[in-house]
Amino acid sequence: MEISPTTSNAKVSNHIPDDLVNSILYKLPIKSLKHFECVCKSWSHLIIDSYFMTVYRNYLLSKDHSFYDDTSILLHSTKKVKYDLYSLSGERFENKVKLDWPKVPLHPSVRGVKIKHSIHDISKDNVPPSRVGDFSFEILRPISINGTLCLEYPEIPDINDHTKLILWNPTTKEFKVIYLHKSNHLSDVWAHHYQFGYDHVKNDYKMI
Amino acid sequence: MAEEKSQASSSKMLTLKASDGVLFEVELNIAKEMKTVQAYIDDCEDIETIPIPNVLGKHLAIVIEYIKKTNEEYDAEFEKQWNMDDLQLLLLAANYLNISGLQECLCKAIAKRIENKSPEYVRKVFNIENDHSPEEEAKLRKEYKWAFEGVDKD
Repeated sequence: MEISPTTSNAKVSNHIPDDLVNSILYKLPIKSLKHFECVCKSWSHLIIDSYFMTVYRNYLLSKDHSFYDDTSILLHSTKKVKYDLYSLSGERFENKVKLDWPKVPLHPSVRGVKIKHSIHDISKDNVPPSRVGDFSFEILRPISINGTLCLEYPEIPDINDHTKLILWNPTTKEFKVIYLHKSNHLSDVWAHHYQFGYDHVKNDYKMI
Repeated sequence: MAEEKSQASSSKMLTLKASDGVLFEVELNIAKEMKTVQAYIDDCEDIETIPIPNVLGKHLAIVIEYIKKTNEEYDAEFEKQWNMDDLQLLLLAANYLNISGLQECLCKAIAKRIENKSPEYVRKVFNIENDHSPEEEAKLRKEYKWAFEGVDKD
């Protein structure tokens, strides 16, 4: 639509400029944002841009956002051998949804190997991995930073003798595996003393 | 918005002229909510008629009513009355007139209307051409398969 000079038939352009489009995108839930990445190239570049994401996240956490009152609880059930994770939402947290753990691929050398899964000082029965990703995870404290959890992979004999920690976002299902080389000086007792945090200044996650 | 009839300045009336020639007489304190108009008044104090070239009379009327009535309840009901075209034109009007409250309200309303829709619908709304190659689009759709669950058919 073009701007017409005659006042009696005046039309106005309905093209929304980019800064207004951004203001609209900031107000979408993450699920919508992700699936609108395929609208066009500039949107897909914008949505993954870290500055856009920072503003989006700040807006999401502010009380002006309509989702501010929608909190949900994550329930980590550690009673059985295989741990389960649930999300509880709703006014009385009556909606219980089981979440799937991330499907982290195994190193080929450890597939089919029987592993011993020890949590703190209690050791569980040997759990043979039946397929890729069929593991239970420990969640490191603090539980969730900006929607990302830090998971500890059970002790698996790895040819490089690394401990695996996984940064996982249950909403977008993205995960990143971090390998920490086990120092020869540390005993197993120290294996659970990692701390996970977020650095505001550098806008990045930190592991201590 | 309480009318302060006791003060002489707030009972001063101003005329706003929309792009299609429609005239609106508004009180000064209402007109001042539009920062663009405020800037106009600051520049030329004696002005009585202010041209608003980007906004149709139909939308200017809605904007003025919004300013007079706005509160939480009104906002919640406000956006339900308008179709997508009107919402967009109102957003452009609010942006041009620099009324931040109305802009926020309209952005939220548009976001709510598109959040569960398909990318095709969104392209139509914003008049965007799909410049992804079919392979790129297939890859994105596959990667974000979880995000496409529950999308409205439209």
